[in-house]
Amino acid sequence: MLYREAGQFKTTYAADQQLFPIRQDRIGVLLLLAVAFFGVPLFASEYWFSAILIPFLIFSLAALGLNILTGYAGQLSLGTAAFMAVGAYAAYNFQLRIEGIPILVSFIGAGLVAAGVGILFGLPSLRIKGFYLAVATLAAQFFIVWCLTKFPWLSNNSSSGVISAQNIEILGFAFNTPVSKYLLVLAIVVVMALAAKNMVRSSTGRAWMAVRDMDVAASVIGIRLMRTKLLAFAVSSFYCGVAGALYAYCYLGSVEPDGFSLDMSFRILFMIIIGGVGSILGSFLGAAFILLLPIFLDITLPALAGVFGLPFSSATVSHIQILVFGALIMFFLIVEPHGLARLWQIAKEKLRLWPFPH
Amino acid sequence: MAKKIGDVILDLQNISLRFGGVKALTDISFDVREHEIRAIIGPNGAGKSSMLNVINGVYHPQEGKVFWRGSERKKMEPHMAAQQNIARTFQNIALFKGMSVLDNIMTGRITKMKSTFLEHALWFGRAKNEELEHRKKVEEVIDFLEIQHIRKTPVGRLPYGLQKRVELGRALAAEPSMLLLDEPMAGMNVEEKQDMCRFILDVNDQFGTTIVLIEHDMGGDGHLRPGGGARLRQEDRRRLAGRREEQRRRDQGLSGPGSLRRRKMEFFFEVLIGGLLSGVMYALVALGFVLIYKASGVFNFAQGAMVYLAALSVVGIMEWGAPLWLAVILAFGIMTAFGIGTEKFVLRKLVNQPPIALFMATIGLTFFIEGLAPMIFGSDPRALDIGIVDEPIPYILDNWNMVISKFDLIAAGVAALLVTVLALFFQYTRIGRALRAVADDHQAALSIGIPLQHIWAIVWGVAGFVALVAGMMWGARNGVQFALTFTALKALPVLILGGFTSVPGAIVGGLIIGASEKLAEIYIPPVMQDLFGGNFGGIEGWFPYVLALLFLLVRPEGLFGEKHIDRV
Amino acid sequence: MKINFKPAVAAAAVSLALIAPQTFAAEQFFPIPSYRVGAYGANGQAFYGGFIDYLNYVNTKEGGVNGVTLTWEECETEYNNAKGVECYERLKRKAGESAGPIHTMSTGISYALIDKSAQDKLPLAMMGYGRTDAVDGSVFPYAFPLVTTYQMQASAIVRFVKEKLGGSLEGKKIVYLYHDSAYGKEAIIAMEAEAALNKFKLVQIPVAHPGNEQNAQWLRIRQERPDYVVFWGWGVMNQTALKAAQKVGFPRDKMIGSWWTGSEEDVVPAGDAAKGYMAATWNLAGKHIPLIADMEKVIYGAGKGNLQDTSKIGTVLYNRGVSAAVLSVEAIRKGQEKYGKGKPLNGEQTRWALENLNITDARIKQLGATDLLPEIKTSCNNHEGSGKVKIQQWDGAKWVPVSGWIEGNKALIHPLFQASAKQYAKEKGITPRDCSKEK
Repeated sequence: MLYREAGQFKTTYAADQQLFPIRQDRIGVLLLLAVAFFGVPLFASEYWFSAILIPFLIFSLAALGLNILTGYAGQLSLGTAAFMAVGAYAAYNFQLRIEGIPILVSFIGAGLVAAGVGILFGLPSLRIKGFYLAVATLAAQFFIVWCLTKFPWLSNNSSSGVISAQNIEILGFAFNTPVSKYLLVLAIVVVMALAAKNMVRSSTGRAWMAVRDMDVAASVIGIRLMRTKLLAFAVSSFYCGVAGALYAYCYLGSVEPDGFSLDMSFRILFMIIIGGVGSILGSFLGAAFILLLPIFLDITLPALAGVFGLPFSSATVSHIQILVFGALIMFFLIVEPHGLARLWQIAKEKLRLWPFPH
Repeated sequence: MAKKIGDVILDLQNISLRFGGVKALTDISFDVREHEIRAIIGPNGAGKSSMLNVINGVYHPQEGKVFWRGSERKKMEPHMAAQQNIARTFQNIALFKGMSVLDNIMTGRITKMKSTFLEHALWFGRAKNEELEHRKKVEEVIDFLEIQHIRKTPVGRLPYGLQKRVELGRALAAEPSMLLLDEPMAGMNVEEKQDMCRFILDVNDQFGTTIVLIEHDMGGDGHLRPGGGARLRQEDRRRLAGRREEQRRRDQGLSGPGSLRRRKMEFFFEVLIGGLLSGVMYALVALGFVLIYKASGVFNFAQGAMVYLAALSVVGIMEWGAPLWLAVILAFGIMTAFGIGTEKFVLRKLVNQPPIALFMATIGLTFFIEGLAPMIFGSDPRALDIGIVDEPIPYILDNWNMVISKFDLIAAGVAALLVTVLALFFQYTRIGRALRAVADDHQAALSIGIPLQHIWAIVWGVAGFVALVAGMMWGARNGVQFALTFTALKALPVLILGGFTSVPGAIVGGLIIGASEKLAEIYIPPVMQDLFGGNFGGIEGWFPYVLALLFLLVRPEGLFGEKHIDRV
Repeated sequence: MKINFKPAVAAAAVSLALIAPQTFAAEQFFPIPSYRVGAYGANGQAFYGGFIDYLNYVNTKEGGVNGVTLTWEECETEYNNAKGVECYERLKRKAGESAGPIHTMSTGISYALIDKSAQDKLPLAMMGYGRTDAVDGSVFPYAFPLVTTYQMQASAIVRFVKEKLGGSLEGKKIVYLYHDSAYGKEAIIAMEAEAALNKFKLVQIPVAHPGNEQNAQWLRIRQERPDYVVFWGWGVMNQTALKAAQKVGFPRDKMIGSWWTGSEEDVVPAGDAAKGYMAATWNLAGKHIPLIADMEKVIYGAGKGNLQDTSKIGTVLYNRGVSAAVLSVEAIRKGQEKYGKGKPLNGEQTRWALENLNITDARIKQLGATDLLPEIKTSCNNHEGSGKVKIQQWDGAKWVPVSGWIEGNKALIHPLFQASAKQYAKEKGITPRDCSKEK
């Protein structure tokens, strides 16, 4: 009843092609943003900021980056974490080596450096497809992490290769509390998510999807495969790079190359698969799901074991968590292979027709 | 009807096209005049589509010349044809399935759009106006083809006839001066054919578009004749060609460096042989991947975890008091049950899902095993003693001063035995034949009554057995522990090198990866150290991947994989 | 072997606790970000088992510290940095009132927590891992690389090798074989400094993570013919190294590992290949240590043990967990002396206590913890407090000590920490405390 398009007539193409064509969507998004910017800082605790909301936003951004590459342009990548690492180390070096460079410029620089590296590792995609490409992106994963360990200049000659993010200051305001860091991350993520939405609804996005769905046909209608694929790699890596910089500066504070492991790449891939491949919203839903699920299991399982009086040792509980995590991933893929975003879409369609389903 | 047939705009002279040894086109010539509707007719496999692909620049003919508006065309890429205003539809619909009708047709105007992705991202500058302007043109096409009502529908959901119409729309959106239509009426019912004919004639009439049309359905052409005055000509010099284009090529083996001093030489061989033997260990893990991928198209990332589960089962059962042989038999039982269970409860339910979903499911399976196995058998690293001491063979050490491990040699023997057994199994048993049939073509195998799921269950069982062998060898070598799951990472480059579907590929790939990674670990870091200073060892983590990647650039289908040529 | 380590006070406390257990007894909370699954799960199980068992033991035996019951909560980190931070944030909420030192047993997680813990005023203990330049407490007030650090350990190992080789290393060759990560690289500066000082040739050979393939490295070692191999491995890399050493015929008694390579979990899977192998440690293994024996009796006798697999009791890592707990509880004791007996300490107070530890041999003996840890005396300038290790050797069935306490070359190593801490302070814009004003 609330969600119904009836009566919203589009009289211009501009009205039909706007970001959120349905009025209720527009209101919903604005409400959500209002809550995120003004409501959450009032009510959330420090734990929520530091342990859940900030990583959620950062991983959403990384998932968004991967989704551009995998979901929209159809190039499977297993090296996301490595591109994040490039971003983190690049931002660190910009801050360290250029006197007085504004932090936001460093972040953009980090994205650009990651984009450059992304283009380099995207080159094989011109010849290699599918799982061959996916395994080939593992080369990026391992090689980049190795480079960061091996060239001491990159970590300012730190004996261990670990870097500590410098303090964040914008226009004299120090972002050193969890709330302020949250707001900073939120603002960046919102801007970049909107940009992504804009890209995928314009000819850039259409070219990506055309390459994804059928690359020969795409080239025949005039899309340059090389440029399109490399652009996808560049844009995707840019997003991952910025996410990596935020990961270092706003989340962990200190990062080591080994922290950007294959495991992390897999988790980000999980996020887009569970959330929805080829969906901006899905990146966010997936990130929330993959981040919250282990925490949820961590809290509920011991409690459950207690309720039923099961004699579980701490080790057993931990093992069950991993087991259940794996099982739920499989369960989800079986139940809804198109991800949470599809569930949301179905719910919306149901709402439109309600109360007259057919 | 006021249009008049003009000059020759496209002239093809003596075109020949080959794929490996297969001749697709031999010495074909014909021309196309402006504003005409030109039909190419021929039986299936005559090379009609190949002809269009030549005009389009998808295929490059080995011989012959193509003249476009009087000037000769050099080697070209497909997108250049689009820039020359040649648009095209495909025999098997080549729409972008994930996109809406509107978006599909909008892609047709991509060569006409000038704004950059940055403008798109920021919705700034030309981006917005351009979108609106082109939307207007696209709406004209939509009106022309009478598909207003399905504008926002994803094309994957449309019936066949409408999809063909949308594809025509995408081609028309480019406002082409020449339109190549590859069997535009194939598979349509009578009404749909009539509609399509009407549209084609209208396009030719209203916009004066030159049309080159492929059809083997003469009825469809018959409809066309009265309106357009199309010239029909059977191309006579065309040779039968066709069948699937395949080619196989063997690659050359390794070449060694030149002569060095004696000890250096010994060392080189020591490293090389050690590497080859390590490679056998990688191949053992890779084998399991290959079996499953070949039979079911599932990229089973959980193979490493299965190796862990298998080895842990053996030591776990031995800890409960069983002797080794019993533990191995029981572990085999566990692995088979596990494989069959996985197939039944997870993968069977994911049939027809995209490969990436299946891949993800196997990563989920990895987590599942990583939680389950240590929960049952404990997570302490343990020794697995299978009665072989891993020491240098004294004879070789004494006579050649080279270290060759006894254990590794035995492992190589076990691997050889395993491959032989598998080969015999596939070659000579009823189940083996069925497996090969399934690997070749699922649909065909199904149609002759091979129970697909039954076969998949068996394959998972066999993969479990391979995992058990690999787990025993790796476990005896490094201890049984969680890190056995990492063996998967050693197997992946082997797979891309050898090809996902080739058993010999897994073995040869393993040997190449093993040997080159060890040699690289020894000989590359000193060179880098000279160049950059600092210590550059520890390259084994990425070197095999980069090697495999470089190899792929030369041969994208791997060492023994089949070359795949896109047919459109 | 009953020693008088339960003074009358403790007995009184026990009875007190027994009489009135639920009347708002003061509680001292320990946040425990632990791990028991994943690649290093086995190590975590033993370490945190020992840690928790000792806290339990203090509660059972003495009714806590001066009547303050020790409580704790665990959170599974999976040895993963991001999960570690989440755990820390979750546990932190309970640590506002009272907080014992936080042990993560992960270099990566402790790095990620250094800034946060300083901001939250929670003391971070890094016993034998983590950020080693935090020895300089003027820059890192809340981080404590207690007992000894990688660099001091490397230095001590070199000293041991020097004695073995007859007092001089000149012209000798030592291979440093290490896990190619932050952990493995930490000791390089110390090895290089020692090489320059003692004029031996140092060959550094890294092994890529996870280290389950070392053929090439060991063939190279065979080629180099070093006098000793100093070995910095972790997880599967340890067993693989021992097996690979056997494969090329390198004598295991010429291999000396760091303390993360010298537990039962590291040598048992390698079987006979491990025989003769040596490793550094600051705590010995075995149940002959009175405290461990008594803990087994008291805790496991009452069925309150944390370990499922009791065979781990008395192993190197279990005892190391007990060692960490002893140190933590002693800090609580020390803090209570200053801030009031019978009152729980908050993070800031525990920090002060960790910075003013003075655990003498007499006290260690009194606790029954002989050989579980060396004498420790910390200060603002020295968050390490000891820098001593023992070398132990695997005889095929158990670890046997083969040396007394060996101290690393402090004069050589500590300035390295100060230089590194100074750089950190500069990058982060931290003004170091003036240690002379701390008391």
